[in-house]
Amino acid sequence: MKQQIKTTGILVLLIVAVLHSQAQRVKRYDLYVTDTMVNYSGKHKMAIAVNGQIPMPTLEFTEGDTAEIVVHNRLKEPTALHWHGVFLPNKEDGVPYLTQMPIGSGTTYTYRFPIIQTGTHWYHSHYGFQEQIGMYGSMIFHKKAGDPTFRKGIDDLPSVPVILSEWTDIMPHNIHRMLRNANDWAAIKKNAVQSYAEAIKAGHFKTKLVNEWKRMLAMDVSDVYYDKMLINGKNESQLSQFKAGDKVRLQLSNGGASTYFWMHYAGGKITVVANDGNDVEPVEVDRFILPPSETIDIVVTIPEQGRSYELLATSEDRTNSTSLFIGEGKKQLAQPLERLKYFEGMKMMNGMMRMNGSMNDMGMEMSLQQMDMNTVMYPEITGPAVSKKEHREQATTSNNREHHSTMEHNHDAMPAGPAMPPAIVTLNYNMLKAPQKTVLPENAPVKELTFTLTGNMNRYVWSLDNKVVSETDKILIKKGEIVRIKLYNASMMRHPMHLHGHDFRVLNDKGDYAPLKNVIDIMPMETDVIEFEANVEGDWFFHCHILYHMMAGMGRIFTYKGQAPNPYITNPQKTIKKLYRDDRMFFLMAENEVASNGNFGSALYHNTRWAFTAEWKLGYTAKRGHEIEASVGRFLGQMQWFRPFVGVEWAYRKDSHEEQDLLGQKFKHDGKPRYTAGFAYTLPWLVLLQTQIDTKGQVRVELGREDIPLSKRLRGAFSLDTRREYMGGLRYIVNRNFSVSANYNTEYGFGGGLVLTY
Amino acid sequence: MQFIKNTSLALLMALMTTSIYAGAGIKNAKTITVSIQGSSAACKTLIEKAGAQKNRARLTWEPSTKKAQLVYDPHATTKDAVLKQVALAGFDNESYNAPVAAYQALSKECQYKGAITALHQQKNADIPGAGQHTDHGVADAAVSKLDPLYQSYFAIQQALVQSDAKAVAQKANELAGQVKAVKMGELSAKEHNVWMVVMKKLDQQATALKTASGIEKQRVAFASLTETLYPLIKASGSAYKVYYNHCPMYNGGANWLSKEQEIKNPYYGSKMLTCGSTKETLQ
Repeated sequence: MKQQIKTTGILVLLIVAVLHSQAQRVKRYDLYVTDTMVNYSGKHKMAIAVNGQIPMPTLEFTEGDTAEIVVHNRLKEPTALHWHGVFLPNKEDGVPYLTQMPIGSGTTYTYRFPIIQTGTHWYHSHYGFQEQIGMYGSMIFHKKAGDPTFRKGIDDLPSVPVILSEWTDIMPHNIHRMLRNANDWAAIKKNAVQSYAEAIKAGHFKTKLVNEWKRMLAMDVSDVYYDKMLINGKNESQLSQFKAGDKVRLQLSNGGASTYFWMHYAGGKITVVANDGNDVEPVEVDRFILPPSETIDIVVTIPEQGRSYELLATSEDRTNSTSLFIGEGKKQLAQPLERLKYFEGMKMMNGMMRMNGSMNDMGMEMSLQQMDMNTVMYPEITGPAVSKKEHREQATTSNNREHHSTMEHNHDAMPAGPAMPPAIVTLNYNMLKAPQKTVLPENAPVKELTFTLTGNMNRYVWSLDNKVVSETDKILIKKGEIVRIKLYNASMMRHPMHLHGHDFRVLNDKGDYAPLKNVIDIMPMETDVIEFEANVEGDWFFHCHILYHMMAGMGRIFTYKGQAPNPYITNPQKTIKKLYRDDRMFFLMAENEVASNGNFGSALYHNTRWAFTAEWKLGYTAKRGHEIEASVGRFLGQMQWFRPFVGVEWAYRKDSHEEQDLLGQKFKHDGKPRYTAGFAYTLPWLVLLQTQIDTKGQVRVELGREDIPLSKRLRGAFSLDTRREYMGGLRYIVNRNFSVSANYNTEYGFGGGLVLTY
Repeated sequence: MQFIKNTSLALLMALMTTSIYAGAGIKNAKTITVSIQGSSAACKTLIEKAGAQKNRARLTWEPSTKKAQLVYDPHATTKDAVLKQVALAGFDNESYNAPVAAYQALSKECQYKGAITALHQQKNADIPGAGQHTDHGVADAAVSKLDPLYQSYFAIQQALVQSDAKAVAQKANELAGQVKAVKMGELSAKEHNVWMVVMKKLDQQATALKTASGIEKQRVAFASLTETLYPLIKASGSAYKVYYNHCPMYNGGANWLSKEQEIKNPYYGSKMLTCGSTKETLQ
């Protein structure tokens, strides 16, 4: 009997214990991923919805919970979800072919991991370009009751998850292809072509000439044209549950694929209280920029009764914006940001760029976003853009005014004109301070790494140390050591670098209180140092979070020495090749001109390093003949100006007689194939020099340039070669695929027609 | 009788033309009345221009009633889209209030609410710790006798940021006077030592700055003045933070002293305002 009671007692105890461990509750979400149709721009387009919505549903957990997220893939393609900024076992990290196999079409997959941190995070698809077309959502981890880091007046405020994103009607695969082909359709849509006509109008002809002399293509602060910017899936929305005097905490994540958002608020100052899911000492600013994939928590106040105040998110290129009105009642607008002064930016770039394509920071040691060189383009800080004529007029009037005021001693008459810009406080990484010490173990060994962020705007190739992911080995680190990384951005664009599975310290002047982050935005010419403790085994991706830069191969993989194999990846060597496919991908560009004097065209099939080219000129009669050339070559150097190649060519013309070229060599259009070897080199002013020698020992030199931006939609082209073939052409771009053209060619004469571009 | 007939006919025709005109170009035209703030007829063109969308919307504003007739194509645009543009031009209306800056940019006669101040002055004062970075931590350490001189320097620095040559000249005049009027006996021992070294140079440079004509020459003089003043201000151990900043671009590199943590470059004015970095913080 006694024995029985004892056993029962133990049993009860056991059950209680089991129940108690259950109290560490499992929170389950079911996510149904489906194809959907959306209409953001007036046109119906394909997108991906989860549980029928874009963005994906907000997932909320409390520290100590176990997350169980069941993904039901009802797409016709695979998917995989990455939990951005979340500490978790590597096999739950959601990078296809690295930490798991993709979730196949029609299958169900469960992610399960304990929540061991707090703060604002987000999640998105890490498969292909799915992030661009709807697969992003907020992920909020609440603090436990009694958490010692709980901040009264901040953590107890009503809070709203806010996820920013962008929408484009063009399919992302196609966008990537157009970027790789230096297609300037996006620039035309954004009115940012920066052509010669526009340069002359703005009094910046020389600036443009120097810019192209230094072999730069017109540059924008962003590359993709988006039709709409979105906050929580809407272009304009309102949080009318809040009243005057209320403080609201907004948990912002940038789920956009490539857009930096400027944020400012019509109701006054913004208090930043957290960054990348980590608390920071509150700091008050007028505005801040939210790089792709960063999260920032802000607190705003509603100043007046019966009004709602605009939180305005403007894309960095300022072509588009989205707003959230906070409060009830009539909407108070924020002052929109004016267009960028592109030619001022170009002039600044000219000053920084050396002839060999590297950049000269003039001895400024830039770091932590403290000095934004783009400021020269911001009208709200450096005054509105003025053309040369206006400038002269303004100078005279201000002289007059000065004269006038000296006479009358009237100081009130001074303001007006391009006045002193107001002091706008913009957030930078040096203003961030952690509330607790973030120092890493003192005695741990330190591994120092240096990465130079490299890129080539003209060919849209992005890399670290001029190597893409597939060209490098994984970087071996040891558990317990401190990894300190020095990053220098030698490219011409800014990059938000993201590390999976770890938070790093961003070394700023806050010393022991350096902030913890998992994304660091690094501007051109900046040097930043980050460090983290290697404490979770696995293969962790470190990459630029601009989707199109990541797909181009801008990243590295960290791996731990002697780690246990990932149970989801049975054959790692073979599997990783599928990941490498991303940055080895080839892109096709083709153009064909159907003109009155012939059919002319070219095709280019290229990837990061290799290029297959073809060129054809087909006359309509045998007398006109035809010429066909094809080659395969490899780009060398970081700037990729040099490309050796081998090729083949045919030239045929009926009744052709022997001709003599400029070098005194005799040749005939006899239709026999000739094998060639040579090189192409990009000269200043973007002129392409092509020199080749064929199997008969004949040398041919060709100089030419295409796509000279004469005006917003007008492009010029020319070429000349030693065979006395000269060509000049004009092309007016009607839309993405069609142009109207006129050309002159020594072989084919004058002609006009239609150009089809792919 | 004939006269009345003619007049009424003319009137009728005029009416018809306007109504035809009113509908011209805008498909599915819908007409509504909206209220838009504005002070006088002076704003009429501005409002109507802001509210016009080619072949989509047209706005006719009546100054006396502050009402406008909006004709628009509901398939192509919305009332709010039109009114948002009107608000961005500076005019409050039933859907939106204008941004403060847009309102302030209006001409005086158009400022229907009188002068207003920006909301940006407001502070989230009661968030614990908020706004700390702007707090320069004024301690009650003893103020140096040279402080008025330093204040003149800072005033000059600020005037240079604003490219205001007149103010620079005026403050430089004060500074030159202050340099001459320094009583060595009142300086601390540390200050005194430095003062003996820089005194003559400082006097020359202050005079040079005073007599420099034009903002560019003033900037050159200011750069050399800074180098002389720097050891002195360091010796004074000021009661507030002073930032010793460096601009690598100006004449191969120049420095300046500032009371503000934010970089405001005096060598380029608004052109390169945020260019530079803090080399040292003195206190």
